[in-house]
Amino acid sequence: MFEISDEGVAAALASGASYADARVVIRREQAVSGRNGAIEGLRESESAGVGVRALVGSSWGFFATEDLTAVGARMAGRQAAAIALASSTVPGQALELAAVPAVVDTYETPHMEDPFEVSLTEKADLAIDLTAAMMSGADVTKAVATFMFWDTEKWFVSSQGSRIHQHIVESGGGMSAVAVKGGESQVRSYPQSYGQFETGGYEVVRDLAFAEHTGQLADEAAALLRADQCPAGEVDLILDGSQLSLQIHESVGHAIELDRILGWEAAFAGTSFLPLEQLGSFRYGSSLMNITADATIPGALGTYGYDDEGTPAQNVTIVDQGVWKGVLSGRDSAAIAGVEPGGMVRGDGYARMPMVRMTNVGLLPGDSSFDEIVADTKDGIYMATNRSWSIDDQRLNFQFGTEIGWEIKNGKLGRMLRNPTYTGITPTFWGSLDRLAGPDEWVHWGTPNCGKGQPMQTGHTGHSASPGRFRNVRVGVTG
Amino acid sequence: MTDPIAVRNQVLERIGDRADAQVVATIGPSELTRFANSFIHQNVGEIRSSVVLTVISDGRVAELVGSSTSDAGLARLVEQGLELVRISPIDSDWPGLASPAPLGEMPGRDETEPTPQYRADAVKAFLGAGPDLNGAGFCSTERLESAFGNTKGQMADGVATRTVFDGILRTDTSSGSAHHCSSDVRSLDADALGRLAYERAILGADPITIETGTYEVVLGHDAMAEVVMEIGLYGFGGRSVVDQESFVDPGANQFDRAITIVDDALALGGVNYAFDVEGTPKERVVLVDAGVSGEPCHSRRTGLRMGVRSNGYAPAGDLGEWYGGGPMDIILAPGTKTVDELIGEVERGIYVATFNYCRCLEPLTVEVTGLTRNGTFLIENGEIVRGLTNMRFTQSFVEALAPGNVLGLSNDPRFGHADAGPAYVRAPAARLARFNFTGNADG
Repeated sequence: MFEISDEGVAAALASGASYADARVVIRREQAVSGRNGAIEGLRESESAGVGVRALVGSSWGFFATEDLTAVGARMAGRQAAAIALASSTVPGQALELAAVPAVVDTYETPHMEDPFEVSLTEKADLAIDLTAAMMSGADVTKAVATFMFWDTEKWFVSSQGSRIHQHIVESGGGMSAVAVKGGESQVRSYPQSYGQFETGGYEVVRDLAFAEHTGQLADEAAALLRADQCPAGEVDLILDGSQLSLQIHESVGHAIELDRILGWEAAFAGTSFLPLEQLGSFRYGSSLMNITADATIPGALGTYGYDDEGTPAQNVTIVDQGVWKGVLSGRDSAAIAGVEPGGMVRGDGYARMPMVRMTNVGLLPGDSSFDEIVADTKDGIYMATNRSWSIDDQRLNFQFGTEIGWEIKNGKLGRMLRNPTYTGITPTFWGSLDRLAGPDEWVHWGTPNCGKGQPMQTGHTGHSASPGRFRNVRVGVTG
Repeated sequence: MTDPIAVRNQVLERIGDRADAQVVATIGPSELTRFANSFIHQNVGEIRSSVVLTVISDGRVAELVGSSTSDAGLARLVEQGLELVRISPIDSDWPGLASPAPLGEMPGRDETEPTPQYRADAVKAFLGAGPDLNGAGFCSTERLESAFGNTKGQMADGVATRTVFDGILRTDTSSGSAHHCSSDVRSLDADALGRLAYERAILGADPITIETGTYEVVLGHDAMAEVVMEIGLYGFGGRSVVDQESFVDPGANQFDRAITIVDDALALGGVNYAFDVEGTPKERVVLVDAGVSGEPCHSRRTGLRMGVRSNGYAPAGDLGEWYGGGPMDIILAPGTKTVDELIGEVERGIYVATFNYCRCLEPLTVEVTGLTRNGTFLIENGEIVRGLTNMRFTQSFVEALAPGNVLGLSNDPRFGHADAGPAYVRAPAARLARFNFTGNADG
């Protein structure tokens, strides 16, 4: 397929581009879902095409087609250059892409069991059995289980000499039990809301041992209907690892995207509260806050060999002992901001222009444990498994809801709480982090549904986290 | 192959009598010009191409989605579909294929596909209305032709055209937005949008922060579009009804009598198709009639489970699993007053242009949290007196439109920019007696 990418690049250059790259992408996706003991949906999709990116002056153009012939690729190259030319009538500042070495290489996700070789019957039976088991619980009105698998091959060529073939395999799934009574619904999910996803094969699904958790989900969903409402007030808040991973995603991951900081997402996703001139000195959180963006973690969902500009995956320090040190960047944004390109630009399939995306933006573990943190908490609430999330366009004011909570009194978990919510301001919240569980409870959580950009792109990101405690957090927000 | 009707026909011919099947082929140009910091920074185009094939055999159902429309690609899709259905589990809830039925007629419109330079010129015009401010947003144009067919004989095809402009202009302390959506490219007036965004941005400069609490509000068109979208998805979606997670009680007076909401694809002029992905013609559905709740929107699957027929609202792709039938072309009927008249009746309250990052906390009450954005203003004695910093709200949208809470609707409905959901929404602005703000810039 490299020859198709070559045609696109050559046509863009011949049409006036000073730089061009092209990606042939073939992506298979399989989704199997069960509901209430029956199969709900079984869908396979395959998208295949070539996308060409062209730079004219300081202006980009991008065009994509499913026509994987030399004729189609050349048309895409010419169109990309023509669009870039139109862009240049409303130009930005002069741009010279940050330098990266030309690379000729291949990369493949390490995996044991090709998920597309596992029979549909096995996957469907699992979804049926899990949802049937959850439906047997009292008060459970709905049970769902979904498994998804992606197999992506890319052939990247740049006009600066890179030629990279990658094969990325991703797998995972999740399940939920919903109970409805008295005008209220409650839900419990495993391993987290919307499931857990990793780079890897079907072994990811097997290792999650779904069948061992159906009873707990059904019981807790029903119990939540009778649980006390989460009280309002300020308490010490302990978050489980999966909720903390989403907290990282929303209040750190998006905030450190350099395109947002530069204002490129201002009209849609928003900007960032982070002042670029304070990179290296801004106090983001407490000294326990150590964040990295590491695209090399084996098995994590945001792991790959090279980004979609041909820059190698790398581990970048983002927050060091509470001080903001790094950003997520690509070749153009890095050049403008005067930082090193981080290899964090990816596109959603062949038809989307690559943009800055999170890799594995995670919080390094502490030296405590969940049990120790609870024992050390006199008056607090433990919240687990995300249910809702909302944050403002600068990533400052957030409000999260979780599926379940427990009161903590004098170092012990007490009564179950329903409808737990908490709210805060990002640097204040992270500044209140004072206990963090250690490596034994550190999980590489995966988020397969990160939306960004226009046209909308869905990204796959990873967020490593262990349970942590935050002091004096406002909880129990209701309308 | 660039003709979706030819693609559809070829797929059905290849299937022959080997299985039952339905196919939706959609092809067409889709282009988007994006700007930020007052320059075009992303500018993309594609020939969108998708073929969705559902194969049914011996009670088994499999769905395949492909992007290739070549002869070889279609042949492969069909053979894969036949192979996949053979090893698929029995689908005990399969509702069957749609029977032949005629479509409603879409209005005519200019279907010319604009050039990249057309969109660049629109961006220039928008920015020209506020040259001293920082502009960001996008201009997109699409002309997508879709053809449906099934082995039961239902055939449908149509064209959706969309010209969308969404822009903001920013001062150092404020921002103002403007939004446009139409099926007719000739209706875009980017200069007028720029002037509106400029006016809002200047009016909101140097905002103050006020206490949280319950306020009377005037919600602008975009904010109201969000309210109506969330109510439509969580209340009137067939999936919500099947799952017992809908608040809707058909025949009950659940809304203020000022509220009438319909779903009517034909009335929106061609931004969407006249049929759903199951080939069912979209019916005009009265969701709320003068405050009284009507019937939900169903796909064939959710309709079967509720013992009613589909009214043409099967959403595409994985939306089917999430919403399983839901409003797609929502219209909130207008009132009689201008927006200025609505504001003029408020003694002390808040005007909200748009909402941001809305998330539903409880589907059974449509309690939603989110933030205000791109234009939040303090109203005193019937006038906007100054800008406010963005505020967080936590509010049941059902209660927001409950009997007695709707004090007026504006007479100038338009397409609104809703943050959540896939539907197109046309809505007026609204004056509401009570709306709960639970957070501000301080937390």
